[in-house]
Amino acid sequence: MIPAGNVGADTLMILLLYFLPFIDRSPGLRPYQRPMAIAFMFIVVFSVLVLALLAASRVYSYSFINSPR
Amino acid sequence: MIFGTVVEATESTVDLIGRELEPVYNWLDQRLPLTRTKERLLFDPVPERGGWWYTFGAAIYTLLIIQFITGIFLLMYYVPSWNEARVSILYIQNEVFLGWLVRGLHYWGQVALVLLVGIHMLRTFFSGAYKAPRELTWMLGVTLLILMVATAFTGGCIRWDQSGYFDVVVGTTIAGWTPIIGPFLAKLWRGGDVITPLTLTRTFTFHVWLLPALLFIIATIHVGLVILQGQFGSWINYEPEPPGTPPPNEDERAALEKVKREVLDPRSRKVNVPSRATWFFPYHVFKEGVVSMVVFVGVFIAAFFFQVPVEEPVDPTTTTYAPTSMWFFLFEDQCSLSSLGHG
Repeated sequence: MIPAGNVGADTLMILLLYFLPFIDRSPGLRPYQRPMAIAFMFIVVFSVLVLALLAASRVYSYSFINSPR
Repeated sequence: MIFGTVVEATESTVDLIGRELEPVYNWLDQRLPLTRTKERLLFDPVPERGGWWYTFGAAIYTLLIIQFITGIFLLMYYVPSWNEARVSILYIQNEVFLGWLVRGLHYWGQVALVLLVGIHMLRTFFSGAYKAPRELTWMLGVTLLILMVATAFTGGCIRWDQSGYFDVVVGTTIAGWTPIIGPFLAKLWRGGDVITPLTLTRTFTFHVWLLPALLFIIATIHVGLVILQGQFGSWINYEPEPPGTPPPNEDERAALEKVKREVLDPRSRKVNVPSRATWFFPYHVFKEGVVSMVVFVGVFIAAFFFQVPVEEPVDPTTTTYAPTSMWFFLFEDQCSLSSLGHG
């Protein structure tokens, strides 16, 4: 089964990263002058860290299954 | 105080080498634009405030060089065949003189590389350094991130133990999900409809030739654009300096004058004038050298104390092995499970 939501989210994320300079065209440089871009950055970083920690806790249990037999 | 001493020592050493090599330099300079290139690259004005934050690019380049060198040594012993790949890695790990250290440097170098690229991108994002006219530099940087992750991924695959084999299974399956060209990509990578010895040869080719060649070309253009447009730094360099800041010294005044002239020159691609600038050499090079050295020492310590594992031989028929994702794809692994309702 194809995780279509995940494939779509990845494609969207890569496209957003690529075209960021053309999406965020606000003239300000300070973080408070471009709240949307900074909020996007924090949401992405937070999501990646939480998902990685959830996966790491699961993978840690696999290490007992995969221990040398 | 220490910085001043180091700068003086560097200058006197450079002077000494310069005097000894002067005839050779003059001979070459009559034939090549050495002085002009030196003036352009070394005595380039860079923003001064927050300079330590703008050193990750150099640390990444240092790590790339370490990856190339250790990769060449590993290539001398590695055999990209179904039955011998894992055995040759065990030979490097256990028999070759300092083979475990070279492999450790290569492995932990890739860990540091992916982390540093992430930090470098976050810094660029946060400081707004991707804005016009630096859009192309940012887009090439995103391409470099993808290429580095792909290089790290294929490097894990060619261990060709259980984890390497199942990484290829998962990687080729995900490549097959790419819209429109997915089935073609998966077939191209596998060398057919299923995983065969040809898959290992192709993954090896991607890891040691195709991806590093692309990395080298795109990284060179990326750095070239940074030199052409000048370092941006961050917003703090374009605001009035805080009260009580000491007046600029002679070098800082000269660097600022030079960048003002460059911005007015119609042939130049520089558009930003920072409130305070300094010379790239030796001031910024010193900071880049310190950060690169700290990163290298960190990688060396990790390689010395944490051995890189090699798992059991490949067994595609196993029903008890639980494949796990590589560390930089853990979030992706969880995302896949969650989107299928299992996480």
